[in-house]
Order: sequence, then C-alpha cells, then structure tokens
Amino acid sequence: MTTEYHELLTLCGFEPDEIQQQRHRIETTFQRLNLVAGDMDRAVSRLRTYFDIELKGVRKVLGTWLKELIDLVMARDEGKKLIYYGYPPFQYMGLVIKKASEAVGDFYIACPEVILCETLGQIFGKLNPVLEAGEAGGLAPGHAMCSLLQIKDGALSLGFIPAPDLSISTSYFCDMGPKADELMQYKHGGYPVEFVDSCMDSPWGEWPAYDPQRIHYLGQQLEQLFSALQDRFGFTIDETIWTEARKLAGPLYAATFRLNKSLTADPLPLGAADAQLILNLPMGCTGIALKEGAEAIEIMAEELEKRVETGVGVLPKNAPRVLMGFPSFVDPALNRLIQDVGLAVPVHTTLLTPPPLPESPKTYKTLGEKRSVVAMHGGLYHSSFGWIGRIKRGLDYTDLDGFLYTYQYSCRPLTCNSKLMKEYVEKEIKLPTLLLDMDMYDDRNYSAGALQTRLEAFAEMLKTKKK
Amino acid sequence: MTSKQLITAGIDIGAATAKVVILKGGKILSALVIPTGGSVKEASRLVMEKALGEAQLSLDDITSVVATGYGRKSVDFANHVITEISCHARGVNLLIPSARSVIDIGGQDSKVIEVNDQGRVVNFAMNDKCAAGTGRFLEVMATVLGTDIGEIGSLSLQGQKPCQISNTCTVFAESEMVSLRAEGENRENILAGIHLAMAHRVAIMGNTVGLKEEIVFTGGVAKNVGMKMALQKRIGKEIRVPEQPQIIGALGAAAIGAQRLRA
Repeated sequence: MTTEYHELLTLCGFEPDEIQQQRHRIETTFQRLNLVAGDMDRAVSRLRTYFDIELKGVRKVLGTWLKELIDLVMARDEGKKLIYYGYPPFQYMGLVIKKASEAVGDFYIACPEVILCETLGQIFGKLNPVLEAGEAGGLAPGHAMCSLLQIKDGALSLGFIPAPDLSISTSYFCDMGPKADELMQYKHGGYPVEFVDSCMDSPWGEWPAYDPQRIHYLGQQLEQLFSALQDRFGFTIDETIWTEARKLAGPLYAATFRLNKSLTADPLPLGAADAQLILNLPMGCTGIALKEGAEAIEIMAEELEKRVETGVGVLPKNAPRVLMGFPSFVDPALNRLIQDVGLAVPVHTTLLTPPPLPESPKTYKTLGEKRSVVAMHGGLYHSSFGWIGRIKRGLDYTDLDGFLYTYQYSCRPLTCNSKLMKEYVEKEIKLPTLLLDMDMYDDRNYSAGALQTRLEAFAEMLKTKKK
Repeated sequence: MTSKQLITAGIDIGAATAKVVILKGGKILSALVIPTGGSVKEASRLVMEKALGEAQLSLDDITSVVATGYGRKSVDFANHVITEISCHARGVNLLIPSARSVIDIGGQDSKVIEVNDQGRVVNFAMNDKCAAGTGRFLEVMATVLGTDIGEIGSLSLQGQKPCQISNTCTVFAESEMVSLRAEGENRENILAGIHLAMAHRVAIMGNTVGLKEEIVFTGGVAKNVGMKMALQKRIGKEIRVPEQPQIIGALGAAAIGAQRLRA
C-alpha cells in the first residue's frame, strides 16, 4: 500500500523517513478507516484543487491534521487512556487536562469529531459513511441535531475511533451534546460521561453583564469536573496547571498571531479554505498539533510575509473584505468558492479579539468561577445578544466592507440569532450582511449552486459599493 | 461607434425558460423567451439565434453579451457573467426608476431585492433549500389539480373561501391537495389557499430585507395575476408588474453590458 499513500503524504509535508518509520501506524489507520487507493487519489486531487499547496506551510498543516488522525485512531492500540471533549470547547480545557494528565500517565485528549472533519472531510471527502452511520444510530438529520454529533456517533459505530475512558459533555453552548452523549453512552459500551451543565439564557441587552448566579453555577460544574478527573484518573487541576497549560499552546497562538498580521494586507495573501485549516488546531487537538502545528503556521506566516512584501495576493487589490461567520469544517470547495467569487476573508468571527473584561476574575474565588467569567464574557456562551455584541465590538475596529454570516442551519443557538445578527449589524454598524444558511459539517445539506448565486451577488454588491 | 449606437445583449438562462433581450441606446430591439429544456448550452444558442433573427442582426453586431440566470456559466459566447440578482435590480430600474424593492419569483428560486435609485443592489434575500415559494411549487400544485399552469392565477381569484394550506413543502402540500380534493373542496378555493400560502413565504423573506415602495414583481410567476393579488393582500402594499416580467433579468444584463462599455 506504500505507493498508494506516498504521494498524498509527501504532498502533506511528510518526510520520506517519517513515512518509513510510521508505516505500520499509517497503514493500520487507513485500513481501519477503509481508505483505499482511490481515496488517496481523490485526496490528492482535492488538495491540488482547493488548497494553496504552493505554500509549504499549508502542506505542513494538512500533514499535522493527518498525524492527529493517526494518533487518534491508534491511541487505544498504543495503550493510551482517552478523554474526549465536545465542540465548541471551553477555552484551554483540553490543554489543561492534557497538562494535568502528564503527571499520571499517557493520555490522548481531543475533540475527535473535529479531527475527523478536517481529515475525512476536508482532505478525503469521505465523511458521508460516517454521517450515515450516525443517522442510522438514531441521530437523524433535521431533528435540531448538529451533524457534528452524527460524526462522533458514526465513527464510534464504525469502529473508526476507540470508545473513550471519559467523555466530557458540555451544555454551556448547546444542550444537544449531552443528549447525544447519553445516547452514545448507551450504544457504545457505557463509557463514562461527565456532564458540565450551564445556562446561556439571558435577557436581550444584558451582555457584557451577567447574573453572578450563572457564574457560580458554571464554576461549580467545572469544579465538579476537576474533582471527577481527580477521582477517576488521579490528576489535579489547579491554577498552576492552568497557567502551564496555556503555555503549551503559546507557540501555536504566537504563530497564529504572526500569521494574522499578514491577513491585514491588501491584496490578501491567503484564501479562506487555507485559513480554515488553522482555526481548529488549538480547539480540537492537544497532541502533536501543538508543536508541529505551530511550526507549520510559522512557516506559513513567513511565506505570507514574503507575499505581502512583494504584493502577491490570492485576490486582486481592493477586493471586498468580509468578516466570515463560520467556515465549513469539511467542504473545501465551499470555502474556496468564497475566494473564487472575489471575497477576501481576513478574519473569522471566532478569531475576533474579545473586548477587555469589565470585572477582574479575581473577584471570584474558585478556579472554575474565574474561568467561567472569561468564557461568559466571550459572548458565545452567554446569549444571542452576547455573541452579537461580541461580533459588533470586533467589527468596530476591523476594516471591512461586509459581513458574511455563514452559520450552521441545524445549530439551535446559531440559527436563532442569525436574523438578529443581520438586523443588528446592518443597523448599528451599517455593514452589508449576507446570511448564508449552510452546514459546516455535512455538505449534503446545501446546494453549492444555490450558495454560489448568493455569494456572487453579495460580491457584486460590495464591489459596486466600493467603487 | 457612439454609446447610443452600441448594441448589447442580455441572456438569462433560468430553470424553466431562456430569455434574450437585445438593446440599442436603451431601446429594446428584440426580446425572446423559449423553454430551457434539457440542454442549457443548446437553449442559450437557440434563443440567441432567434433573438438575433428577429432583430435582423448577427452575433458580430453585438458589442457585449452578458449572461445571467442559473445557467449563466454555460453560455460560452458571453463576454461577462453577472448574477440575476444584480440584473433584475438593473432591469427594473431601467423601466421603473422609482422602484425600491423587487420580488423575483422564477422556476426554482425566489428573491427579494432592495434596489437604489441607480439600479444597484443594496440588500437581498433568497429562498433556502426547498421549492417552497417558487414557480416549481405552483407547477406541482397545478398538475395535482389537473389545471394548466397558465390558468391557476385567474382561477385562484374566483375562490370565495381560500383553503388554509398548512404545508409549503412541495411534497407535503401535494398530499394536502389530494386530501382537500377528497374532502370535496372546490378547485378555486384550493388554488386561492395555495397562492396565499406562497405569498406568505415570500413576504417572510421580504421582511429580512424590508419591502420598500415601489415594489415591482418580476420573473415568470409575475405573469400569474393571482400571485400578484395574493402578494398585495399579504404585504398590504401595491405591487407593479412590468409588461414582460420574464425578460427583466435579460434586460438588466443587456443594460449592465452597455453601462460597462460606457465606463
């Protein structure tokens, strides 16, 4: 099988000796995922069509995702204990657990569904069997059920990924994760689940203020999780561990910060499909992505700086610049389409800098409470108004021509606030806004042709306005 | 050649019909509509040939061809490709400069467009995912009721007690039609209910843009007088329909072609 995957892995920045050394792990992973020669060819074709593979940094990031996939699939075979967490993750939570676990053993900690999106979805275009297995298992589409959860269930059902030693299921953003985890717990051998409950129900206009009771409650839930991890695995999470864990991601964030500076240039040096690859590295992984992902992004940042110096861009100068809601995690064709219609995406909503905290976290006593304040202030876990307010403040200091609010149609929190988002941004910031109803995790739920007309019309509208 | 003498063509390849407008100095030399059929390329070639023949011109006489509609990328003789949203806005502005909102309902989609005094798009919304609120929805309902698509609008106006249609999903609404017929409901009342249900869908979409007067209704479905009345009833504002609502996209495309040449 070596020759079948050699081209793909080489394209993804694997060194020849690395392929040789990892041969058993690579082949076991691909066999387990039913990835055959035709899949390798399709993956190569997808990468050449949709990604900026002239950039070594892009190739290396793609390689980092493949290495994460291999580590995920092989974790149980290699004697590791597995802890999964949900998406969107509580900031630094995976890293903190990773750091704390180092004291007691070998753990693999990740959000597996995100890794599968970025690899079986983005790279191989072979996520449908996983989604279908999730549907067959009870997570039917159109039942207010995020397709990301179908991926997790489907991958467990197909034996693509091992059942975890613990799943951390969180409802500070959406309560469907815990519902789905309960179902999966029942179906897949009764693996343990720790539920972190919260409440994101707030009156319109409250953010950035919040009811202290909500902080106490979420803080207490996090403290319960820390205790459960101590009881189950014997490691401790405290302020020191939290600080050290943040340092683990330091190189990754520093590299991303460096790269982001190039994205302020006109012409824009990087397309939306390539930028998407970076977004989830610190959110979905705690393993090899921290080191190799950081190195890959540093390479990409350096390459982009050269493009900026020489005036090279992926779009002509003066192309309309838009803030994008959420890129697709699985469909590079859709992300690429945004670039192809002439829209430059210098930033995604999730990368907007949050406003400064109005109140010091030190006024709260426990670690859980202090982290809850930060999370609540980020907006996404607060309320619809919180998320809209956070984006509005981000837009205030970002030079943009429009707002492309791509959102997950089956995500209850995001669907609910989409109309509010358009109205509020257009009224308060006078920024033209296009709502693009799509599915970030399942490309069967939209028609690329219909989306193309909307995107092209939006680009035409912004170009005309810019003139 | 001065700008007044420039001859431009707009070609709008829709899901149901292919349209061409040939324009010279703001005057329509020819306008033609044919069914799109199975081949977009063939339809685009055929409709252009016929329109040129009507105007007694050849393709060499045309300075610029602008293609629009869902099949716009398949028109291999086009000089420019522009979305139907921009073209409908420009086409309406050419005919009715005071128009500020356009409702365009075609075979496979519907749109609400806010347009400024220069014929530029300010805002727009488009139907998502399904056939609710499109010409296809009406076609299916006409077939179920055994009625010609060209007659359903006027028949709907004869309905004295419009039926309450719960479903705007084309498939579910089809079975609802069957049930209503089985219950002995008359065709006119069913059709009146269908038109109101569809107007309701379009009005909801219009709310996301904000319907501002004057409102102009374009696209093939605008020929349906029942739909115009249902929309007026639901929106509560007067709606104007151009003489040839189907050709507005092609007209706008031809006008944009002329505008680009002058720039």
